[in-house]
Order: sequence, then C-alpha cells, then structure tokens
Amino acid sequence: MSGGRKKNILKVIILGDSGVGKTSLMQRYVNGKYSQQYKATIGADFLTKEVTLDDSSSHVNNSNSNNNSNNNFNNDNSRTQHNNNTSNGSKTATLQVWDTAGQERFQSLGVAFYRGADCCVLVYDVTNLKSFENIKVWRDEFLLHANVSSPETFPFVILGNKIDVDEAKKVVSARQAQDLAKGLGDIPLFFTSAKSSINVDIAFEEIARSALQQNQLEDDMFEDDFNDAINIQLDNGPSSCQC
Amino acid sequence: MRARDINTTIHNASDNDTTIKDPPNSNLNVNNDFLVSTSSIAQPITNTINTIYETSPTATDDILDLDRNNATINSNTSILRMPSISKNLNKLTDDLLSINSNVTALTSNLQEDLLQSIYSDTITHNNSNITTVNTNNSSTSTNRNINDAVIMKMDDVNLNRSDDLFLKLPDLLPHTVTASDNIGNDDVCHFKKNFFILSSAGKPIYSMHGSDEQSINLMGVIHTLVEFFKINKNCDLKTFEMNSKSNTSCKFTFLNKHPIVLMAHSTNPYETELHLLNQLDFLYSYLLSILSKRQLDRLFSKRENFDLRNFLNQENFQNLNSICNMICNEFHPEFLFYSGSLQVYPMKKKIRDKLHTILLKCYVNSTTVTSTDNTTFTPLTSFFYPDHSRDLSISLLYGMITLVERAQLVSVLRPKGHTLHTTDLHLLFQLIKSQYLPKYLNHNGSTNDTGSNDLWVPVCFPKFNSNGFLYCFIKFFTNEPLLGPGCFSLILISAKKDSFQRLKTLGDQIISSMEHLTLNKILSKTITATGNGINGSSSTSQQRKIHRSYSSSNLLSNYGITSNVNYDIPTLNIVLLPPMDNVYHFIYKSKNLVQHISPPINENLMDYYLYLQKQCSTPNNTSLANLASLDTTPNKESFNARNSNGNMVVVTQLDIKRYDVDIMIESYNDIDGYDTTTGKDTKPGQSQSSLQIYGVSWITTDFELYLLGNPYFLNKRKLLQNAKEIIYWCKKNEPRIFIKQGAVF
Repeated sequence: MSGGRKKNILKVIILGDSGVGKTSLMQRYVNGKYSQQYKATIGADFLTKEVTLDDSSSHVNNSNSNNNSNNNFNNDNSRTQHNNNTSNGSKTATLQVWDTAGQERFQSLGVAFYRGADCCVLVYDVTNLKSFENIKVWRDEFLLHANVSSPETFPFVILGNKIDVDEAKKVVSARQAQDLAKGLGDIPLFFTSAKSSINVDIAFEEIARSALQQNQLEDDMFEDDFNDAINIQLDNGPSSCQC
Repeated sequence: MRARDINTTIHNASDNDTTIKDPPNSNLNVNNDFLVSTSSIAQPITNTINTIYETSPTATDDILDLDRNNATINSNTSILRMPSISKNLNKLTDDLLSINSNVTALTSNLQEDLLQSIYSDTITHNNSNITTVNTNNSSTSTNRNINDAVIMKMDDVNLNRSDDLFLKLPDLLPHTVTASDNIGNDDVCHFKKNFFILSSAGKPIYSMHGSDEQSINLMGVIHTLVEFFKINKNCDLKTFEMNSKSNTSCKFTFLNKHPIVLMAHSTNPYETELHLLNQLDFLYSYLLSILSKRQLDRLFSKRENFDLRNFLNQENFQNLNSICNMICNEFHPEFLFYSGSLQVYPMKKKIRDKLHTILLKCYVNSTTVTSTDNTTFTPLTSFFYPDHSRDLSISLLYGMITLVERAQLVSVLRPKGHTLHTTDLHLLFQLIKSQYLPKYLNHNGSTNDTGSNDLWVPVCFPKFNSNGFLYCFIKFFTNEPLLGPGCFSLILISAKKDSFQRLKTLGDQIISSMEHLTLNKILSKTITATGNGINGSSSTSQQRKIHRSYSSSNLLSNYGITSNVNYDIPTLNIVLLPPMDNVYHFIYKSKNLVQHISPPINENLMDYYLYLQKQCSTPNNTSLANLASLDTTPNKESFNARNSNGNMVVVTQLDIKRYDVDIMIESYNDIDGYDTTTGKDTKPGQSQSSLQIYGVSWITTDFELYLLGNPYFLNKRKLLQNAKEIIYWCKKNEPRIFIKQGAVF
C-alpha cells in the first residue's frame, strides 16, 4: 500500500421505499448505466467511486425543480463532468455508496450498514406518494440505528426520482417536496432521473460534499480531544499485569 | 453446481454444534439468506465467496445483472449469498499441543546418490570448517579475524552453504506470486498472503497488498460478512476455508475487535486458524500500542464513521508493513507457537548473572539515593532531582537488555511476581528494531554511543494494560567484550511520563557498570596472561596458549591500551551450539519458561516447521508404533516421551520434486496417500529428482522440539538419537539459553 495521506473514504447510504430507483441512481452515477428491468436488491449492494470536490465552492442550493431545462443525456462521461468542476483547491475522496434493500423483508442487515455513515440519501418516487411520505420514516429509522453523534447536523440529501415521466403521472409536487426538505432542516433536495440521467451527478456531488464536510467537521472536533487523551496514566500500576 | 466440489468449513466462535442448522421455517428462508451484490470487487474474492455459498438459481436470475463484462473492473457484478451455513466444530485448540512425542518424517524417493554425497560432503566440510576455526584460533590470525570466525560459528551454521546446490531448502509450497512480481498485476488475491484492517463501519485502514481501489471494495465485503454473522447468527465469524480448483487451499480468518476488524488471507495449507489469529492479534496489538484501547474506543465512540486511516501517520504504516513483512517473509519461530515464545540471547550463566546483579544493584542504588533524600536533603540532590525530591520511588516497572538485531532478550529486571507478556515484548523488540534503531542511527551516523541519543517513547503494552501508556527509556549501546558483537539496547520502562531524567541516570549507571566490569576483566586477564602489564607483546607462546580469540580493540584503545592484547576465551560470552550432525536446523521451546532457541539461519524455514507441526496435530495420521520402538534405548534423562504419555508417532512423507537443477518445483504429496506414492511420481522421461528430508517433532508437557534433518540423511534412528542429544543439550544448557528468573526486585 502506498504511503502518504490517504484519500478520505466517505460512506454513503441510500435509503427509500422499494422501487423508487435507488439501485438505478447508484448505477447511473457510478457506471453511467441504466437498466429497464426491475430487480429487487437483497441485503445490500455497494459501489465505490472516486470524486474530486472543489473545496471553495459554496453549498448547492436545495431545489432544482425545473425538470426539463437541466437534462443531461451525456451518459457515459460522468467522470469528465467532475473534472471540469475541479479547481486547484480541490479534494479527492472515495465514495463508498451502500445501496440498501427497500423491501422490508430484505432489510435484516440494514442496521449494519447504517453505522458509520457520512451521509444518508433519502430517495422517493415522484409518481408514488407513499414513497414520499415515507421519507420521514426512513430518516427516523436511520437516525435511530446509525447512532450518529449529532442528529441535528447529520447530512441528509433527498432525491425525488423518476422526474422524466409525464407530468400527468407525477403525484408529488415540487412544492411539497421543498416544504418537506425545509421542514426536516433545510435538507438539500434534487429532482433526478436515473433513466434520463437528469441531475444525478450534481446530486451526488452535493452528497459527496456534505459527506466530506461531515467527515472533516468532526476531524477538527477530534483534535482537541486527542491532546488530553495522550496523558492517560496507567490505571492501576503493576498490579494490572495479566500474566 | 460448482459449489459441490468445494470444501467449506466455517468455524464459528459461539457455536460448537456440528450439525447444520435448518432455518425454523423454510418458507421464510429469505430472512436467513443474505445477498450482497458487489460491483468492482476484486474478482478472486468474489469468486471465492461465490463458490462458498450456493446461489439459488432463481435468485440469480432475479438479481444478477448479467453484465459480466470483465473488461473493466466496474462492470463485474457478482452476488454473494449465504444460505444456512453448516457450522463445524472448531477443533483447533491448544489440545493439539498435548499430543506427545511425534516423530514426523519427511521423506521421498531418493534419486541421486551423487547429490547426496555432494551434499553430505559440504556439510561435513562445514562442520570441519567450524571446528578448525576453533582450533586455529589459538595459534594464528589477527584478532579481528578471530572475532569474525567466532561470530560466524555462533551466528549461522549454514552460511557456508552458499555455494552448494542446496544452499537453501527449496520452498515447500508452490510458488505463488510475490509482491515484487506483482507490480503490474495488483489483483489482491494473487498474493500468497494478505492482511486487511478496517473499521467496524467498513472503512479501510490498512491492507498489506493490493491497490486502494481494490482493497476498499474488499473491505466492504469483509464488513458485510462480519456483520452478517454478528447480526444474523449472533456470533463472530472466525474462519472460512476452501479448496479452489487448482487444489490450493485458501483460508480467510477474521478477528473482530470492535471498532477494528482484521482479516488474514492465507494460501498456506499448513497455517492453522490459530496461527493466523495469532498474527492478526499481533497486528492489532501494534495498533493498540500506538493508540491504546481507550483512545481507540474514544475515537470511534464519538463517531463510527471515523477514518482511522488518515489518523495514522506514515511511520505507522511503515511499521505495519514491516510487521506484515516479518510475519510473511521472515523466519520467526515465535509465530509457530500458539502461546507465544521469546528467544533469549545465549550466554554464559556467569555473565548473565553479572548482568542481573548490575541491573539490580543500580536499581537499588537509584532508589536508595532518593530515599536518603528525606533524611539528608541537600541542595545538591534537589538540583539533581528538582521535581522528585519528595518522590521516593524511581517508578521503574521493567528493565531489559536486548540484542536489537535478533530481537533476543539478554537480561531482565522485573518486579516480583510480574512478567511482561511475550506479545508485548515481541512487539517492543520489533518496534525497536524497525523504527527506533534506524532513527537512532540516522541521528548518530553510527552506533557509537555518545550518550545523547536516548529515546523516550510512550508505548501501550496491550497485554499488560491496553488502556494506558508506559514510557520506555531506550538506549543503544555496544559492549563487545562482555556481551559479544552487535548492537544492544537497554530498555527501562516506567508508568510515569516525567521520569525520564531518573531513568536516564539509572541507564547511564547500568551501562557504565557494565563497562567497568569488562575493563576490570580485561585488565586482570591481560595482567595474568602477559605477566608484564598492559603493553606486553603478544608474541609469547604463553600468551598464545591463553588468549585464544578475543580482543576488544575499540574499548582498549579508548583507555590507551594497545590493541593486540587478548584475553581468555572462557570469560567471553560464547555459547556453542549443540552437536548438529545430521541436523539441518531445529527449534526447541521450553514450555514452562515460554522461551525457545533456534540456531540463527538466513532462510525462511517456517513452512517446513508449520508442516511438521501440522503433522502432529492431525490425529488421523497413521501412528507407526514400530517407529517409536526405534528408540528403544531409554534416555537417561527420561525425555523419552513414550514413557511420559501414551503418545503416538506419526510418519508422513513429503515429496519435494526437483525438475531441474536450478528450479525446484515442489508438489505436495497428499497426506492421506503417504504410504503409497513413493517412487511413483517420477516419470522416466523427466529429469526429476527429489529432495528428501526427515523432520522430527517431539512434544511433551515441558518442551517442544522441531527438527529438520539434513537433506538425504535418511537414518531415522540416528536422527532420533540426534534429536535426543539436542534435547539433552538444551536441558543441560538451560541456564545459558534461557532466562529463568532475571533480576527480581
């Protein structure tokens, strides 16, 4: 293994009801592919991807409701898009994206993957009201099991997927979604389409950024602790010998 | 289905049940199943795991995105599935060590008498070399030469074999790709052996081999496996093992030490789960030694997503590399023994006793100096001990002298009733050798001690107390006249962070006492030897007779003494090896003292010894009682293991076929078929020949002996006799080769 400071590993969990397109989004983002077929994820699935982030760039704002103006059908070049965005002050990190099973019966292991996450992605289907309503449930579920140190500041990102469908089929309005995102504490919100590759890269860039922020925020927190931690004295002297 | 011919064993920690556990209701089988599909995972591992766990066809059709385009890593999609898992009783316990006296013979068909004669010739040549060195010393040669000769004799019997056809024993195992071959091909699983460390959240911390990208994916799989067993089976996954198609066995052993998970991957069939766990524990111990358990827990309790990889520094990773390298590529008999073991620097009892006396005396002096403070408290003492004038204890926990290069213990000072765990010591010695010594050399340019390069380092000794740090004062020194050549280190360990000054004073005292001792000795010897004082000429015949070998030109010149003054060899720290006729190499371990001795050798015989050990622990080997009856003459020391226990003698055989003079290709003759195949493997058309070696492993309740005979020495009776001689020698020389008490305060 090469020396030097290693890249940050950012663990990202994707949650949401069954069939909202979690796997598709991940596949689209990492591999630039989309499959029409539906296959339930069993257990979990993970992919990794290198990301380069512009350090200085500001927080991306939380709505992108115009579903047609932002189409990006450039399927196979998700990487170049990232490179275009990078500047000198950029940071690279490795995203470890965990795609969990939406179906309840496959969730026996979910808890294991929640732990140690740097960012949690909540996905709903714009044509499925129930999946939208469940966003809050998923968020609570995550916070319950993930055991994060400060739930108020833990980064979430909401994705409204399948934005490519006919307007008529959409049952969750952009307005509703924005209200929800605001209500949950100004969570960034993106309207995406894995099928048509709309906003996927932008969304994941935001995901990576908030994950990195989370990771580094606590890095700083930690430094202070270490200084006093090194002063630890032997607890009970020689008597603690275990031999 | 492919999985049928795969032999899987899953060892579960908490489950001693050997039966397969059926899921309670098979309709809801799905809950017991777990499937993770991974993309861009190192293919071999996924293949591996694929083969372990049957994938039900329906599930495959359902889930598997049949996008098996191998062109890019990312397009590999594979599915792991874990159905109800058969749990096998973990048989590998220390019980296997209770098997007594096993004689294992590694044989095969003898092909060329010629080779044999060449080989035995060189051996005897070597031996005679050594003996001539001994005898010649008295008459000829400059002092320097003699020194070297003596060192050689002590150090490495096998060094002289370098021109020989069998200068080293061939690798016992088929050669798989090594790290150096692997630069172009970084596929993680082409490595013979690999170690992985990750956090419980699945974030990578360290991997011995493999690219970052691969290891990150692999860590995800490891994480999944471990968590699966923890959540669904409520136990820690320990080992799974399988035989791949190429008949190479593959073992994955896990050590779950929340918040750290470690995994070893080994293709060595002779390594057991316990060996691997031992090695993983050593790596884990290293992590603790720099962080301490308390701090590690604190780091991760705050947030489980903590990236420990970025918290460790370059030096830590170098140390991890050197530890892994030590475990995998160097010959360290310590890792042969499950219960750990320590190697002691062989030396005359008298000298070791003197060292103990010095350590103890200096320690007692240092405490009395401070205890008199109370009564006679002078400005002078307060000047020397500004902070501690009222603190009576010197706060020394342990003191040690070690030979740095070989990580051998020379002398130990310890409180009554307490010893340090071998793992802690081994770790410390390794750190000193790989980290502190180079640092010291960098500072100094050479090993000459100027006294200004003392080290003061905090180290957590995980087996002593994993929650706190101890502080080690380390001073490197040489003292050839007393201890022999090599760089030694004095280690003084204290629990108090601010006791550096005191330990430094103590350390300086100890070292100067040792120098005084040697100086006195030299002076007295030279006076008696020459009769006319220090500067006497060395040409007298009397002197020749007395001083057979040694000079300490450095030290003497420091004191203005001419360098050609010699002194008597019996005062020197030279311990001869036991008679090793017919014996290539051996390891002897005293179980009581948890110490072992093995002649230094610059080749890695680990596989041979692991094989030997495995033979003893394999219960279904044919026990050849008639071989046991070979040693009918009862040993007078009653080492005869047959008497002490109803033991069995095991003979297995190993073919090491040689297809070419230069290239050894080894094929492992299946243990189960050891009785038949001798001689059948040689095909007439090929220039095949075999190397035949007998090995003896002899395990009793108080010692273990592993011994390799010389290649082509095929007299079992004689070899057993040699084994007995070595055991006898070890018993007799126990005070020299082991430390029983040390200096106890």
